[in-house]
Amino acid sequence: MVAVAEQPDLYDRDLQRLQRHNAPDWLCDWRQRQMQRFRTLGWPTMKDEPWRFTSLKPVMDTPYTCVGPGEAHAAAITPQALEAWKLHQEGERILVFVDGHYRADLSSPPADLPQGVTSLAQALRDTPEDVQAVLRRANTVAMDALAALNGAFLLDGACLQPARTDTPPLLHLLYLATSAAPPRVSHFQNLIVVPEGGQITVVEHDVSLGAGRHWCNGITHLLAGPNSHARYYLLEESNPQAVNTRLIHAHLDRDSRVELHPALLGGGLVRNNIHGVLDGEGSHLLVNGLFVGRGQQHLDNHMRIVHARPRGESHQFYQGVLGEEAQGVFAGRIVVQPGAQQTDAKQTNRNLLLSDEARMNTQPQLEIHADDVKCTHGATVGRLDQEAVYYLQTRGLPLELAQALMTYAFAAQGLNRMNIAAVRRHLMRQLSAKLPHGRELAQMIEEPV
Amino acid sequence: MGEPLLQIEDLHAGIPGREILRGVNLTLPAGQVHALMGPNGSGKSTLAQVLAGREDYTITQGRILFAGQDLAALKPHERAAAGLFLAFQYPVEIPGVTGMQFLRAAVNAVRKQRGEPELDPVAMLKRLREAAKLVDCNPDTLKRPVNEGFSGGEKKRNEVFQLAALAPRLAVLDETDSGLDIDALQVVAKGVNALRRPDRAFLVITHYQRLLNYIVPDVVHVLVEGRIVKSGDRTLALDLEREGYAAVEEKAAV
Ligand SMILES: Nc1ncnc2c1ncn2[C@@H]1O[C@H](COP(=O)(O)OP(=O)(O)OP(=O)(O)O)[C@@H](O)[C@H]1O
Ligand SMILES: [Mg+2]
Repeated sequence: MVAVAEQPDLYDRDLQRLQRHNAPDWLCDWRQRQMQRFRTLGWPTMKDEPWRFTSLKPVMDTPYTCVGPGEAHAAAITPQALEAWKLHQEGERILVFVDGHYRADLSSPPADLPQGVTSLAQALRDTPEDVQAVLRRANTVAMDALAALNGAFLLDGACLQPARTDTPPLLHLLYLATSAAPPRVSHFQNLIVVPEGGQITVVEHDVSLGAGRHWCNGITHLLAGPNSHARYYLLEESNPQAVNTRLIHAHLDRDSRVELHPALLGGGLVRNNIHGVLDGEGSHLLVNGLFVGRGQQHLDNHMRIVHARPRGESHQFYQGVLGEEAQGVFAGRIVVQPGAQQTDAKQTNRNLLLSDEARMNTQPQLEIHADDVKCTHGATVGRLDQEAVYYLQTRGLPLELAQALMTYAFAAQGLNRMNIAAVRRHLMRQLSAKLPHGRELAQMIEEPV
Repeated sequence: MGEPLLQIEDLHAGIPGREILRGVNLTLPAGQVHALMGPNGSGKSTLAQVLAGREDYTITQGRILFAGQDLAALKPHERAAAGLFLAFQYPVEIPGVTGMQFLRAAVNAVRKQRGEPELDPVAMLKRLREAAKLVDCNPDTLKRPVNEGFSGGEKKRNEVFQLAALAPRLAVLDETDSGLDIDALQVVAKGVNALRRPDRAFLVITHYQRLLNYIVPDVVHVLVEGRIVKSGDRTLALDLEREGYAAVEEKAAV
């Protein structure tokens, strides 16, 4: 075991290597300052309220290294291999990253990408001032130590600032993580800016290339302009050794509509922070979380929704399924600031436990500083309905298949809130693959195309 | 008269600490319809559930032969595959599973166990449409989650729809008529009559002689306190209606 104190030295070395690459001064300063902040804040521990149920010790104890641009000599990935991960949706454009670095050779040809859609590394070369301005606008929410560490290695990711169009494509960000020795960490950022009246659909997709350890510490900033409509899906499907810590920050301007659909199916230790700020009148936020764990998976959903302006609407649904020895956490907080009158906020966390060993900790919370608001919250933790399972058995389904179908039906309530058929189909397959009799189940529930 | 499809011999069954069925004997030949009547709590649903294989009940004595095979060795889904169907007194809601998914799963699960090829989507749709027509069901209910938000009558009718789709050899209908309005009762009865075949039998549990005007039974059994105290032709149901269980019981005891 490597002592805890050693990792920052390792991080410093990685940072020094990164800083040798050509970069504007402000960016080098930014990284230094973020590293400073990481040191000041220190690793969060289980004594810190937001980390009560999740330990980062496995991360602290592992010498994850951050490979620089061009150092990620990735395993031979062929474009054919990518087919398996594609969503096969009309208008899909794919941006592929390996260990956090953009790979143009694997991605949709630049000519197929809309104007304003590029990698962050490219944007930093082409229009650094513009990126700096977006970062300033985005970094208005409190960032924890992991976000600071991410900032210290700011270099690549997706930079999506498409112009308004009538036929917005589906942008598929495929993050492939390799299994290497020593294991690798990728600190990428996705910057998404939706113009006034614009629309965007982004599917971020985290996948492992091997069975070994890796750590993905990513941040997504989604800045939704007035009257815009953004849909963001996170498909976490990495291997059971993987660590995934991330922040999805959505900032909503007047009359905008944002949907966040984090689906945590893979990963060993996953912490997903959602931070939504309804900062324009009449904005609407949907958070539709789904997490399905088994084995030793630890899936932690942390969410903070701030209503800062009047007439905002936010609905948060988190649907959790935990089997075997999996652990789940949901900590959600709705904050209604003074003046955010006529807020309509609703938070629901429903969980299904499939075994005696599975654990779920749920804490929905409200913090209301305005008087004319409608806020509700609630959480349930339950078991499969035995009566329904028996009913299915009497109709010919073996016990395990009946249980799997009921489990799927529970999760399907989350899937049904996703309005992109290709994503639903993809998740349906992933989900059934995690359940007993997966193939039979998939056939049973396949939606007619 | 056909071979006995169902043969219940001296069946004792119950829950820990309580025997609910206390020596039931019943022989149901293929091609026939038998009615099972009896006061509340006499054990009718228990008998139906024991036939379907509900694990809450333990058989302590006797046996059930279905087409010559001892049912005790079979799990509920295997009984379904063998051709046994129970229309529940209280049908269960299954949120998140549409009627279509449910029936497709059921029909194919049964076919698979029998070693038959699964129905392709077109053949399946055809089968389900025909079944729906038989019980005058709107096929659109297939798009809704099973029984969720259905009225009591709709749930009952849905049970008969499933019965038609699964085409079993033995159908046990547990108070399928309760909660149905007059029109629905006739529709359900018409559906059941259309499903009568020489190789299929029905055990119809009911409290009302009215149903038996539409579905005419070959034999009526009266179950009281876990025993069949009397069996007879359909006029027995009329006697029961006129005189009540107590009188019939007394006569039987003599
Ligand atoms: N699982 C069970 N646990 C406890 N008691 C039970 C159980 N199942 C049945 N019983 C009891 O056994 C008796 C018979 O019940 P059953 O439901 O079979 O009656 P029934 O003849 O169907 O009545 P009804 O006409 O009211 O439907 C009742 O006293 C009932 O309370
Ligand atoms: Mg009953």
